[in-house]
Amino acid sequence: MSGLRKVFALGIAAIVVAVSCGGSSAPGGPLTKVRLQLQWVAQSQFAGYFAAVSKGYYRDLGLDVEIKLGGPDIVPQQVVASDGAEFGIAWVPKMLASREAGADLVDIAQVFQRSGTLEVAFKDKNITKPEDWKGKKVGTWGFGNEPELYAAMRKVGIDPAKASDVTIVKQPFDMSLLINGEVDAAQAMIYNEYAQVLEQKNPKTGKLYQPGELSVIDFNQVGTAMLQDHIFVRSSWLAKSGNEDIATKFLQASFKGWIFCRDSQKECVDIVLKAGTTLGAGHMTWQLNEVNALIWPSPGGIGALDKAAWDQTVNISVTYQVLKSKPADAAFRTDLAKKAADALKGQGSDINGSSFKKAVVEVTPGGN
Amino acid sequence: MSAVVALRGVHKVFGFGADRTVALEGIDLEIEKGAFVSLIGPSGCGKSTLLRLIGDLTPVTSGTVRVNGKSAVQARTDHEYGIVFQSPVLFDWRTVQRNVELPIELSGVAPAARATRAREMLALVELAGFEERYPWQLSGGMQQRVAIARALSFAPAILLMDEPFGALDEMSRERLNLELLRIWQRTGTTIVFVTHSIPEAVFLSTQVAVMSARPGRIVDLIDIDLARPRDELTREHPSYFEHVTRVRESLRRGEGQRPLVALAP
Amino acid sequence: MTARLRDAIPPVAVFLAVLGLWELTVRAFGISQFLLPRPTAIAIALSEHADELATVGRNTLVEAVGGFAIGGSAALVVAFATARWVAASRVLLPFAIAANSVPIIAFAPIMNNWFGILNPLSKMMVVAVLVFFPIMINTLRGLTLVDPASLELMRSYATSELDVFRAVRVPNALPYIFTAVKVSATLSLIGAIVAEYFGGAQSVLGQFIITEAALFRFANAWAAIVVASAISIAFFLIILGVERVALPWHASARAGREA
Repeated sequence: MSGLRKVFALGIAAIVVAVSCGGSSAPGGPLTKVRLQLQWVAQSQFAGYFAAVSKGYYRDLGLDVEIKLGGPDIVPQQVVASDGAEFGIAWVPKMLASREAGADLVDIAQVFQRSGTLEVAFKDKNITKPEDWKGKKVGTWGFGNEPELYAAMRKVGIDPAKASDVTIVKQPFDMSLLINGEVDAAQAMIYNEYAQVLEQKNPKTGKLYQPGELSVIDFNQVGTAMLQDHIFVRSSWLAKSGNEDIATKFLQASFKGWIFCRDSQKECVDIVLKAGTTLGAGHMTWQLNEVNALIWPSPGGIGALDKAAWDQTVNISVTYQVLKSKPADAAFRTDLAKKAADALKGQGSDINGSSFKKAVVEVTPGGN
Repeated sequence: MSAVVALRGVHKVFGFGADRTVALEGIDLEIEKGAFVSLIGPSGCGKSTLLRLIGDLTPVTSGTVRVNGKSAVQARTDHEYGIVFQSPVLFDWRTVQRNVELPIELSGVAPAARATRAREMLALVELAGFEERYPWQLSGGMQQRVAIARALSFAPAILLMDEPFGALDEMSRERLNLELLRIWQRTGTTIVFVTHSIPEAVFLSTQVAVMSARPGRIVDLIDIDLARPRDELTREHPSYFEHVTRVRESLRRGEGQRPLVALAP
Repeated sequence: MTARLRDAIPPVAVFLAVLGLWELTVRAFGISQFLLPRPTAIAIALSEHADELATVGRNTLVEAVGGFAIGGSAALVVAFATARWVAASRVLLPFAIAANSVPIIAFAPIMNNWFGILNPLSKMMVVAVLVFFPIMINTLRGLTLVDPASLELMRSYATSELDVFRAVRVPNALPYIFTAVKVSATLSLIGAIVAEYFGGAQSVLGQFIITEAALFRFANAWAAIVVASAISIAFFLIILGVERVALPWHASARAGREA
């Protein structure tokens, strides 16, 4: 039966070829190990990276990514600067401050295009604009998260250092002080603490707090917002041969993860929940929705840096003494992110998300 | 009868059941006013316990103790005696003078009167000029002199002394023996003196009470009729050695041993 | 040159030598400012932020001293009661031991809740709990660890229990109390700074250190640490001075010098 044997051999050859060539564009060898240091604990804020791990996007590009969780006393800049990780997520002003102190870090992808910081108050306090903070008790987390708030205050003539102008209260990372009235306004991330208020029952009405009961000051609108979540690396690491390629691949897979989390939000939330978050599904759904709104639309493509926003961030940092002086332009690079985004565009992905619209997410009690 | 201390049929038992120890058995003792009586015996014979029974620092199990015509309890309450221990037990935080003032201060005597009395006593023990020193600035012998001054500060009828010179070297001991005799003569206090040292007991006392090994009994009460005032020369006198031998033989008998030397009856 | 001045030379010399070595090492090895700042950088930070450091230092000191006073007083009361009445010791001692076991991390937010996060009293209470046990247990030791011969002597005087307390137990306890108080002085400053970590007013040492460290400005953070240490040492020396006055016999006796 030579004819049948021929077909059989061809069939096996075809299978072998298909198996060896299909899926992986990596040189069939071991995966490159890299570590990513997150800025906080596991939550939807970092969904794109969890998705990229879970869906195998990193593996497809030859990377074995270990995600290191953050927390109150973990400083990603310090971890990356001391070679505890190759990639880190942090806010731009803090990364620039570390740079000024001698860490050779560089922003290679500005994932969040807009700031998510709010100052939240109950409606009955009548705080609708920065001027209304005068004479009140205003909370901030400290830890270098104050500049947007202080800049907004100084813009309208309130000096945060003067107790006669305003009382600055250092608040813990929850909304307890706002809810029991110890502060008039509290700092909150739109994707996190803000929802924590909405997930609690108003003792007076017996129902969950409604957005209508709160007044919110958005720093993007006040004009003192600063750039936040971005991916950074050490320039010295980047300069080593082959690492620029690894970085580009890392960005490409991460971006793919974020695109997935924009287009398949429910599945993405499930991935985050499995990644070990201690927060509930309701809260994670809210968070993913709001985080997507900070990323999309990305007019220049995901991870692109808006120079005007960068300059505003730097100016506020220098004016309010987060930085002593303006950094050199070597503090950010746009080429790697562009390369990664263009590669995805070439594969047919939507890297701008121009048609993205924030969904209306139902708030669940306690965020469960 | 002028017995200032009278013990009759005194028994002292420590502990219960398996740990029951008979420390003293059938003690009968009378001490005359102005006497200097030494209690001597082997270790553990209960001589310190006997002293403490007189001072009501520990209760009798049975028998009676009369001190200055009162019960031991009453005598303690009325400050009928002063006590000197083997260690001076002075308070670090008080000056020498204030240490001496302690008992009369506790009795509520006014400051001026206290100070006068304390200085008097310090002069008596030949420590005038040391009033403002602190105890740790004094030698062991000087500290004991302060303790004696303190014990005499409310002019008690009786002085109880529990091996007061036991921790001192031989030279200091002999010097303080002379001191003590001088003080005894000046004040006329009745002294009950516990000691390990036969020569010391003989040198100081009018009588030596010899005790047996536990359970402690008084096996002999020896009169020491050496001439007074006694001094260094007394220690060279033949009758001194005779008395020492007598006390030693009594001790040996009390321990159940055969005599070494034949004594004159 | 007096003896005291001569005694001070070795430690001062060593201190300066360490500073010098530190400065040279950082310069020679080019150590980043965020790992270990140079002493000169710290000195500059100290002078640049002198006013702010003075303010935050003062606020933290108030918390430390207030808490020390509250905790110390409570400790003395409990120790005296426990020494005097056996029944009191059975009731109070378990609470004292429990108070000692609670970690600050659990305690501070609760105090913020009870007394108000902005109220310095919430920080003082953390300090109070921290210093309570060392002072109480040492006072108790001093009151009860009395030479039995002293007690026998007092018995021969047929005095009241109160007299024994006044004449023997309390003076005996004073050195123990001062030892505990000296330890508590440094403890109270640490307690205040850690308690500040959990929220409250902004213008305190703890917040200053956290903010500067978060912004990688470690020379400033170290400057604040220097201020905290200086305050601690000053507090300690004040207590040492009080001890010299209150217990003139103790220091001399220990040093073995003639008056």
